[in-house]
Amino acid sequence: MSLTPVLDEVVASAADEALDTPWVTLVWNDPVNLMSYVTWVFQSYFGYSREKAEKLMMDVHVKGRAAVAHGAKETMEAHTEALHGYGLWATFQKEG
Amino acid sequence: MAKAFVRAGAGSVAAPFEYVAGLGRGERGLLVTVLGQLADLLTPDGPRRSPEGSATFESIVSGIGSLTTPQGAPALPEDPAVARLIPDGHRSEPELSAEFRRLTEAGLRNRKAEAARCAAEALGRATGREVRLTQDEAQAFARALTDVRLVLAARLGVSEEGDLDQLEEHADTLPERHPVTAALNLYNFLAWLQDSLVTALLGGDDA
Repeated sequence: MSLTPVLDEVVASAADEALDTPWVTLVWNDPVNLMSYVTWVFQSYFGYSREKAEKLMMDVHVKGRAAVAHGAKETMEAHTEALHGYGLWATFQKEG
Repeated sequence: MAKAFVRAGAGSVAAPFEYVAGLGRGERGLLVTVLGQLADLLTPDGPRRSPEGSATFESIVSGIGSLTTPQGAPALPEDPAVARLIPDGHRSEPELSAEFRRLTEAGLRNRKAEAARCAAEALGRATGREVRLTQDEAQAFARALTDVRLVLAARLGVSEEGDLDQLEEHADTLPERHPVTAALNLYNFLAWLQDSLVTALLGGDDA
């Protein structure tokens, strides 16, 4: 008995999902939210490292927006809802 | 003089982290009032908070409009403050935004109002000037402060980078007791308090 077919199937299915559902959650710059707060949200909600959270926060601040998560549409909607709960200006959209 | 939030405790089961600030009676009353008004704005039919300190706050915002909607009226989606608290989920496809709003708006309103009430309750427990928050309360407090600041900013017309600086310059030419000056002072006080709390939540300046 070999594990290979099972693994192949798992890999193929993950690849299909990536092709079918290229969605993204964006956070947009706003003049109210503090840099420290945005960093804290990215760390505490997504579990991102301090370094990654600060880089994303700076992208929002300097570039006006940052893609903070990628994946299935339902997951990006859930992230958007959670980020609205934190008062961040978040949206979801198809990647591209 | 208010004392900013600092983290206390060891982060262990026996001595969990706590977040401690020193706020005077007037500052606590003002916070309780704006948090109550935030909860009312989000859930107009929900339980109402006691109006402790409301005279002070009413006098502050009387010149720029109230945080609350007119009595009995539901919060209108076209209210820019509510629109910022519960923004569209999608920027260009109204159907996706509408579906998202249908699924999430009620829950978001309730959770935001709940965080505001949790923060107000923690303030009500203060012993002397000392406000002491658990980890969960500190997170609710940080979120609620954000929402109050978003509402204040919307009422003050601060929607883009640079608006606040312009408003500060304008306020310099106004009498000291002008409502806009008072609202700006409140906004900046809330930002200072929130920054200290979030810095403490992140583990201090050196983390």
